Amino acid sequence: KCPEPARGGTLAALALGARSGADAGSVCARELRRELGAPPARRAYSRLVHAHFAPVRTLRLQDDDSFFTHTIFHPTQQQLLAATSSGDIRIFNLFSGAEENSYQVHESYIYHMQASRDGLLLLASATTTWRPLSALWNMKEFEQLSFQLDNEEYVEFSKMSDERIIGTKGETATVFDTRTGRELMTLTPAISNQYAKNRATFNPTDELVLSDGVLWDVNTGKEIHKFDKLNQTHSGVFHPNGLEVISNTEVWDLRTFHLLRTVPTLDKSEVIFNPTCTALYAICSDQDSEERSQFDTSFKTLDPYDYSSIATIDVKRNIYSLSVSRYGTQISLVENMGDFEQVQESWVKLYDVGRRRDHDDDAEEDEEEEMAG
Amino acid sequence: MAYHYVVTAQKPTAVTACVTGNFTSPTDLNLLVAKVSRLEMYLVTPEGLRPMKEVGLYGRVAKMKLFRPPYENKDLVFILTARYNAMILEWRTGANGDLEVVTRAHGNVADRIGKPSENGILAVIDPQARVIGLRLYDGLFKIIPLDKDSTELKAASLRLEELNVYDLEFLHGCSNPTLILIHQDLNGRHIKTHEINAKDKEFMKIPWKQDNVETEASILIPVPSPLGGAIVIGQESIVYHDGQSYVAVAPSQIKMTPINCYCRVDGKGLRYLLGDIAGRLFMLLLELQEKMDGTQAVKDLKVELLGEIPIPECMTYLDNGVVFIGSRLGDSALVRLSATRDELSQYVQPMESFTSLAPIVDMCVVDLERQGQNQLITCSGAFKMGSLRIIRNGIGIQEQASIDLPGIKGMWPLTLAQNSTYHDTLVLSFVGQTRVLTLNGEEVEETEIKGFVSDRQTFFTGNVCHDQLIQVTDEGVRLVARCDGGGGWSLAAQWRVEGARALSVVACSASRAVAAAGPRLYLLAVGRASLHLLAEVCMEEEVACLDLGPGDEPALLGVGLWTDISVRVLGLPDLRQLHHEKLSGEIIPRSLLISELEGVCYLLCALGDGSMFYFTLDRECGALANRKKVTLGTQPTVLRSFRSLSTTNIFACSDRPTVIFSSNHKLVFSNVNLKEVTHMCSLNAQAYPDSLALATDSTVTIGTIDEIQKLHIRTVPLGETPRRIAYQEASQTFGVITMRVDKLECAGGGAGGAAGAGCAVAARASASTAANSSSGAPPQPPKHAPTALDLEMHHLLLLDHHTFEVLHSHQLLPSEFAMSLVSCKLGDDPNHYYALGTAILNPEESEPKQGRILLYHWSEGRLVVVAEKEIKGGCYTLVEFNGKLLASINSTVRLFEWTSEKELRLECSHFNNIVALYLKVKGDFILVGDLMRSMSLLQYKQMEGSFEEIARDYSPNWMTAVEILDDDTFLGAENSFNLFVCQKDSAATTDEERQQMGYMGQFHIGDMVNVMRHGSLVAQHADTAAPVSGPVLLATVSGAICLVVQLSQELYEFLHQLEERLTHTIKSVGKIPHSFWRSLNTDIKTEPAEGFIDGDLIESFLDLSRDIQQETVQGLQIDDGDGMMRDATVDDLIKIVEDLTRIH
Repeated sequence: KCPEPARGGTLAALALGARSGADAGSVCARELRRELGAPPARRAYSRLVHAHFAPVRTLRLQDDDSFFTHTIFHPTQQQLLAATSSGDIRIFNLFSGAEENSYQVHESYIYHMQASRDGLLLLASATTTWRPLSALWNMKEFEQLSFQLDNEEYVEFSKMSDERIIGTKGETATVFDTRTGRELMTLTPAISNQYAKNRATFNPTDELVLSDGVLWDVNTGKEIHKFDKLNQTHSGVFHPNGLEVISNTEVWDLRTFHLLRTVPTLDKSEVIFNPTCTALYAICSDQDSEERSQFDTSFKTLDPYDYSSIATIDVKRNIYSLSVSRYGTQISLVENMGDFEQVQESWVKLYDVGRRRDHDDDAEEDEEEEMAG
Repeated sequence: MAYHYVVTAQKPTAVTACVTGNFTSPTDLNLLVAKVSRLEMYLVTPEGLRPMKEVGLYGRVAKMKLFRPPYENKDLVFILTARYNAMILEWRTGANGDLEVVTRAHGNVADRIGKPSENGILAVIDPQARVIGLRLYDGLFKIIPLDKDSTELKAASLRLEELNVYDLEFLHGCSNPTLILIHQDLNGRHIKTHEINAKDKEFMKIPWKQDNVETEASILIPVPSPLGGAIVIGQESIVYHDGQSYVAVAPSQIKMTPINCYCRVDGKGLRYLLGDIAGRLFMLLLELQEKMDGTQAVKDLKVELLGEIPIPECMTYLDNGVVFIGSRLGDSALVRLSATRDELSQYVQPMESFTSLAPIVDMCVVDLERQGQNQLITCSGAFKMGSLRIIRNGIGIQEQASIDLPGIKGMWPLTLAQNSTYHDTLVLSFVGQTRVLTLNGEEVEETEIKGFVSDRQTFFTGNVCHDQLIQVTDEGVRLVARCDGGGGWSLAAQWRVEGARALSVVACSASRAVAAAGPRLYLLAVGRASLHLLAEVCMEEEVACLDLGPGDEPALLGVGLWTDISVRVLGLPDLRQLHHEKLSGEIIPRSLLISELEGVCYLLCALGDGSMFYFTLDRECGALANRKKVTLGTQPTVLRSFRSLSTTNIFACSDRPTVIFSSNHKLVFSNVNLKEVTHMCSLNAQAYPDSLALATDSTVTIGTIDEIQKLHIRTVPLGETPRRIAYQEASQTFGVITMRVDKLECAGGGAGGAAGAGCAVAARASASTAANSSSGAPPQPPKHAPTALDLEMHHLLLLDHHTFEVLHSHQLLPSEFAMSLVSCKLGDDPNHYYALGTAILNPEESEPKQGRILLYHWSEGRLVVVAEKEIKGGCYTLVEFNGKLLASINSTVRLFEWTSEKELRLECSHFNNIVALYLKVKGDFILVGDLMRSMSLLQYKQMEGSFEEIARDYSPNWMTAVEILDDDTFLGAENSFNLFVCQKDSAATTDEERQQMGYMGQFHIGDMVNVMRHGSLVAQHADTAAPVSGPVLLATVSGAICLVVQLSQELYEFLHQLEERLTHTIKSVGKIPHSFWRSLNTDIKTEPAEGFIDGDLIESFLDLSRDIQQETVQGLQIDDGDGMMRDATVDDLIKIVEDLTRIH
């Protein structure tokens, strides 16, 4: 629901300034107020911006035997990294769309990548039928670094810096030193929650770890709290504000461990924050149990302040992955057609955040034609 | 690469915080005012506020609070900046008697992680000064214990259960610091108290709370002991609560508009002033009753409307019923509360107004008077405080007294009292008459001096040697001496001119007088009771003007002649001609002055057309050199020298009065804020020390003169919010878009209207209601159910470009916003039109779907709509572009051509923006400023009739203004108060590099820039030696005007070194590093400033003492002019910096 406009119109909004909170109303009226000195209505603008996405570029594989599985923006270069089902990472130039490099790093489906902030290291996780496989790569030459993360199903960096890596295997989380690969700590819950997609993660200050629905103190390695299990899939992620844990549809208060709210929109969704934490992307990839290949064709944007929905954007293809650029101005989606076992068409598509699809007197761009040539 | 210099020409004027206390000494009552990033300390005196010291802060003041620790006998100030720098400041008189600001403690209290509160920063100090409390992030409360000796401010975080806190305060009279707060949860707003254990840094208990106070409650006022408790201000109700008793009232007066600030009137805390957002002042009174146990308790709350004030941001009670009202939407004010109402039934009387340009929303740079100096016309202020401001560089005269006296031909001050250094008499001459005025304190009365002739026009009078007076009239020279033994005067000697010609011009020193009658010059020696002719010469032509140089004998005499239009320099005593200088042209010299300024002797000669020649005069040989000519006005000019602040300056009396002064051995010309001055003299009377007497056609004004180099500001009040301004020279008008807030008055059933139908009526008289004529949409009920009681009506006003009288007011449709305005000439159409872009707002839409572009023609007092074009969105900007009209409409940039059928036809469009807010054009290039997507450059392809995007900045910058500096360089301002410069690289080898703008500079300007325009305020003719180019003026939300100029790389590097040194020499208030302040800071990144020189820092070099300047300069290398580097001297630096100060 939209907050009621303050009484007294522009004058009230202006004089009360920061107290008016997120204000509804037109961008015109907001600009008028901003010029007169009202504090920038960051939330309202963020809502406006994250309601529209205009496709700018489509990237495809030259060969047909594999398909895209995951994509991330290069943290420092104007490049996009796209992983495939056959275990290679393709590097595309964001300007030209040209494939600049390709590295065979794994032998199978890469389902997650994360780059270090300096753009030197890359974590990748792949699945094989027989064993989990993660690795830390040097992004220059794509040489695997000396130590092994072989047994981890999923790995990510710590939040304040890239000094540590946290890996997940089932219910167990392991913290590694990024430089030496030394195992620093292993966190196994006393009673497992058995989340289907447990992904251990640090909190924004790297003092806590959430894994398998259990909150750990990193300094002591002790369990602090076990959140009630209200879903089968997601253990949960920390809100960047450091105050909340989002576990599927549930939002927990990290300080009281009370349930703050339930957000049905987030059901079965992976949650991704933009870099300024002014928007939250949710993509639903329900990969649990028998219906392993259920992918949604739309993604959602939410206001991370109150979890209100901003928009649902349907791309009419299965979304395998979503990634946000360094400053949150572009997103990339892996969009695949067809069944998981038999992907017919696969591409990575880049969208400008906030821009409406070109329309009006220009003919509606046909997406099929755009990528031709 | 691009190098820039950014400097503040007008400091911010919006008042963001104010406090009253004893800051400078235990007995001084001071007012401290924060204006964004500046602090101004005033002394409260019976005569008003006296400025004591102004300092800049390397940060925006977010909160400013005073407190007095138990061990202090005066007040200290706690300041928190928007970037979380905390500091405790003391104002102390230093060893040399100067007031200085001492940082007692400082520290940064930011967290790396945290959710900055949507309700903004809150800061409170315990009344017993035990602890400072801060609410910066949701769910956290920080405390800073106040220890006497700690120089570091370190905050400890306490977990605050309440997430959504609207206001908090410390309660009085509690044994432990006790917090009271208003917070909101799903059930509503509540108040709650928390007792703090300052030692263990934790909350102890909740002494009391009250659930469900008013839903809009947002202000807490803690009540001092012995009452204690707090007042809760809501939108409809006011509640007093102290844990036990609860008194609530719902005064009808406060219902309409929310209260947004308060101040306490007395120490006991029984009276408070409340200010609302419409600029009304209320008094809140606590009525007490005695309880059974003999203590007092609150019985009732009374609210009374006192009257109108500026729309307040903050206010503070000074003393004796005087209140300072700080505003950021217009002029701040000092008002006095009286016990009785005046005729307007107000208890509030204005005492003094403090000019504020804030917020400057738009401006135009015009040379209205065509004298080579730009004026800036700004859209300033908002709502009832909306105005246009006419700003120009010049010197202000503050009027102290004025006397109506028409026809003055000359004025001179005299000292009649013995052994006095003050002037006590003013002699005025008229045609055929001379009058003498005695200055008796502030009183002026007419008198006579025995021995003076009063039935003739005096050409000169003054005190001369041997305690005598001299009076020169057309018939001759009279010497008047003091009578023996008495205070009276009598004629002591007289010299009459012989021949048919009467005297016409004269010059005097203490012992010499030179007079001219026709072509004949007479030199007289003034002795004790004697005048004798020393020399006499006949010039080739008639003498038009003359002046004596300093010294007795030898001395120089400058003479300007009729007919041959020349200046001669003669030597005293023999009146031998030493130099002959022919002035070009046919205009007769009218006034001549020889004056020594900063040790350089100048001869200035003003002509009848308002122009002036000036030369340096060699005092030894009388030779004139370095001839220069300037235009001062359009009328004959009279030159007079005067002393102000112990320096000699020159006043040029004309239709454009000008003060000429020397700065760094150069003459500087500065306008005076007076329309016309015919004569002037300095006046140093007891009641009017260091003043000037200035005569116009009808009055004599006594006034004091400002400091040199100050912007002069004239106000045209509008009473409604101005939004855009455009100048149309052809129709001699300004077009101004304004927004007026009307009150919606519901017509009752009895009035015959349908139920719920309302009619908007103007809330108060303003420019659009007072226009000479009006047109446009008739008042009508809005289509949509009003969400607000106020209705915002947009108008196009046409104002006369000289008088600024509102000629016409054109009202737009209800719910139509006027967004953009430009004066344009389109295609082959010879007419000049005003093009107005609008948006039609629908409350449900986040972006307008409809709008209009309207073309108006103003001629012969009529406004005609020439064309109207419906558009699919709001038109944010309109620009004339190659004889066509360029518009930004929502996310698009569109070009319209003007057809021969007088229609706007869409030629081409460009879509690659979120909201295209700003447009600037140069040649075929268009710079677009986007809501979020920074800047992009388009090129218009004439042949294809299409746009091509050439380059873009891919960073997410939320733009507030853009400007094209040159073909490749672009200046942008964004909403985190940063400036940045982007450059396109046309020579780059890859498309990728060409399409991407590179950053060439970034700088935290610390203010929100609303508008950028090419131009400068400094007159073209003034000597601007600084090697800078391409000036762009920036105007901000807080009323500041800044100048950005381009520098050469050499100068940039040199100034950069100086800047670096100055950051070490100049101690920053609060110990915030300069590099921190100027670093680019946005939501996503903080990066060091580069490519910009901080002119404000550079110019502060001039304020340093010579020793420190010397220290700063140590080791700095300078190019000596032919490529050789040598050590720079202090004088080199002073010259460079002074040249830079003269660009604004």
